[in-house]
Amino acid sequence: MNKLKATMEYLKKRGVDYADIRVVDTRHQALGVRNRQVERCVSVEDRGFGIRVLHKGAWGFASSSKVAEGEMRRIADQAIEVARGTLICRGDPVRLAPAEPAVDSYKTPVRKDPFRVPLEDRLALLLGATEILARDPKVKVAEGSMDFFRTQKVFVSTEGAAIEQDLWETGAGIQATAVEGDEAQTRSYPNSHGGQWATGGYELVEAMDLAGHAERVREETLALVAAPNCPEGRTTVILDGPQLALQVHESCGHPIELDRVLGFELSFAGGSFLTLDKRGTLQYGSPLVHIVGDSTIPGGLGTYGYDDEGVKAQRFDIVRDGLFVNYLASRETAARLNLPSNGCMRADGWNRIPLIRMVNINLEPGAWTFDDLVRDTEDGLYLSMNKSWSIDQLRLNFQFGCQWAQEIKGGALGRVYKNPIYTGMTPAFWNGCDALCSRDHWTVWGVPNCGKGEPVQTARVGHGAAPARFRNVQVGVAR
Amino acid sequence: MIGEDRALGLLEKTLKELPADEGWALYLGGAKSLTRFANNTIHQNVTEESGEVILAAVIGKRMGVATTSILTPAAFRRCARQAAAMAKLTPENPDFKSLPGPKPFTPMATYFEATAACTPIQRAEAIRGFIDRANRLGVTLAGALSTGAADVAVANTLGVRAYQALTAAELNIVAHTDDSSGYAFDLHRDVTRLALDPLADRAMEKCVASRGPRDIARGKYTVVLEPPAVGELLEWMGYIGLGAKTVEEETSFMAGRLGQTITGERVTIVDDPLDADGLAMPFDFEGVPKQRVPLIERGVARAVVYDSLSAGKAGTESTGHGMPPGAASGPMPLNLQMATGDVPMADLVSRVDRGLLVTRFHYVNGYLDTRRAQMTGMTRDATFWIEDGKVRHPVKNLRFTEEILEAFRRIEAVSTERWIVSASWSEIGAIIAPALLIRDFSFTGDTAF
Repeated sequence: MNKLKATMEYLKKRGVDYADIRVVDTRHQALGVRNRQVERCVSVEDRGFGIRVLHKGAWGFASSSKVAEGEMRRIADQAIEVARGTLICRGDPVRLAPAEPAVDSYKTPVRKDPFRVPLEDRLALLLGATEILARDPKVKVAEGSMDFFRTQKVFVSTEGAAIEQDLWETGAGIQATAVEGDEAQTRSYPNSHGGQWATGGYELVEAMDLAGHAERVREETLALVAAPNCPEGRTTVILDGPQLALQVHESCGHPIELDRVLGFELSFAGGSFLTLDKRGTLQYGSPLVHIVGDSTIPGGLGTYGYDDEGVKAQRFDIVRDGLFVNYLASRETAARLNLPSNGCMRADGWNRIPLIRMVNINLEPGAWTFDDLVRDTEDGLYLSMNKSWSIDQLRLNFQFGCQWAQEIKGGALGRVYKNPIYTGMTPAFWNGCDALCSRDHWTVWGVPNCGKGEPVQTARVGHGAAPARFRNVQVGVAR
Repeated sequence: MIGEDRALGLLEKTLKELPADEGWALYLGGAKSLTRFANNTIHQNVTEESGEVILAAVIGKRMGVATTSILTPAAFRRCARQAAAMAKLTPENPDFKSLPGPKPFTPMATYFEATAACTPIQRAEAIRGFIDRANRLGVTLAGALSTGAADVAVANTLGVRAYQALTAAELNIVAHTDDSSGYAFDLHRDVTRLALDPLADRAMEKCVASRGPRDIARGKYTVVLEPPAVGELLEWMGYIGLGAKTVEEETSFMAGRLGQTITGERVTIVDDPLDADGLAMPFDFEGVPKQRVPLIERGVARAVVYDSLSAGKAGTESTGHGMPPGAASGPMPLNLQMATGDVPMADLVSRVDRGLLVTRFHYVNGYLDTRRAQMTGMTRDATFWIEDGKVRHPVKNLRFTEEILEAFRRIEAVSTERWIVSASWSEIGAIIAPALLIRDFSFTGDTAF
């Protein structure tokens, strides 16, 4: 901490408007099994620091993997040199919304340190679960994975902030792929694309009971290869929690990033249809739709104590009674709207600048039980778990493929279909939401692989969601 | 940059610490810088210096992997102990035969001092040049200019010793107004070979030309896909089907079909890591010499790429497409190229009665049905209506959903030119693609802009 404070003092003497330094120390273990073999058994130790400076209203950032005081000075000078480059083509000087400099610490509550659970026990759990998946010759891929991150960060700024954080993240899941003829179908648990992720320790993996779900996953995969293609047409759909989480991610989480709205991301990820005039005026969804940003919710993958600008984690409305009301902001972007930052700046490691990233972007639950919601649906489809995803660069036209579909007829779940795809335009889709399941069916689903920025960064984010019903949705398979 | 002697010396020391039957070590390090601009100003400007050692310990037929970016003797010892401990605790993998032995590789020039020495001021001056032009034209620019230099070193206990110094420079630029946009991209190991101003001009010309886009109905259209659009399709083909792992898993469109015609005869796709027009590289992350691999020849599925593990399992040789130890992807083709044809790009439009000219795609996803290479995505950054062989007016963006191998059966012409195009792995490989004229390309959705 003293070295960091000394570096900030040095930068103050060099006359910068503002500076901060983050030292980030990450431990990561990745375990992967496939077809009764251990495919990945990797331990990662990564440490370094990054310095941001605001020099005459222009940003510069430099970073190094060598954590030492002399190196910090050198990198500080480099950050100023980079800022001088920015000055050559600077727009209006960057202003930062005020933020109370915190002196604090935060640690993710963890009941069981995953790094201390014997490796052979963790591998045995994965091998045991995937052994059950593999008990049919049509299953060509039976795989399971576990990932554990412990990230210790120290943040110090020229404003006097000094924050230490100790963040723990855990992810695990299983997946089976069956092949018959020309058909390959996959089913996952608890979620696709790497399983379920949350902040916490090994207790999360134990609670998943991977082996207990493996037989069902296998049988569902086999059912899919034998199933007919999902029929096309406009219909009512009920989306399960995992798929709805990704719907929220793509069609709400991204367009509310204020840097996208202001054009900062146009060269890569794109812009946003939620232009500034729509804040407080656009009916984003039906009056049942309430979406909040929340970096405080226990266990959420986007939960922490402070963001990577030292702004405290908080909870705030994004969509209230269907009306769009707020963005995800940084100190710089919030200043343009004369608002305070809501603490959404997150960096993927020591060698990346913080960018506005999702935290936990949660669709608030409703009042229905899942069974009652199905009973209330005369004709439609139940769609489960994501398989493919695509959306235009302003976040309007989307198309999602799911792993599993079931017909709903006369209020009952019926035959299984494969290859369901649904598509739509974001505001029309959300305005068709007419029922949401209750908190009993609500989970904060983790999305561990959100990409943004140049150079690209990966963020691990959360989305609370319970199954919900949407009317008049285009469902189709294009063959 | 630490240079060959230091990089290989570091790996040799680390391997000596390793209590294992065999060991494999990688050093990846260097300095990278990126100057990013939006709204005709530089808004993000970053530089990074880093180095990491990746160590794989092999005990019998078990492998454990540990990585550290803390480049101290104590950290290396910890890394070695960790890798060996993980290896001891994993079950045996009967598919593992051995780490590869040393083989000579083709020396090539992959380091250019001008790229390594490029400063923040130089990048900013280049960007200011085209922003000044954009301001005069009334368009807004967004993009990124990056330069970097890296050491890549590989060693193992069977005698592999490989080192390469690399540089790469890349410009990605989008020009936009309130209702139009245009795009350009280039990548080269030598920053002096990036034609920065012509690239910026291309993006701006497309942007100006695509003002006032008209509505367009979804449906099947004859399309001219410019190289960036084709490149996105090739990238996804690489992910879902051109590596040995996806064939073994039977999820690939190549699975069970080697030797069969799977697409049109105008389609020849190779992976060529030795072509200096791409980001050439002499060896893979296992230190195995990279090879040119013909993947699809005149529509016939010929081969996929292998690493040592998948090659051993299949009873063949590695093609030099190994990834770092512990990578989940399996062997990957990082230098995909589609063969050119015999029609100049400028003439492709003249062959279209009614159809579309597509600059590039956005958010392509190839997981709809990997056995059929079914993909979806949006058009982006200038799409035009063609009628009677001429570009008539810009149109709003469309969503395509297509089985790409079937679409490629309907290729009517391939351009004589080919461009290097953006890929998500642009630092370690490149895709080179021609333009294509395809009949009846299926657009299944539209959007508001």
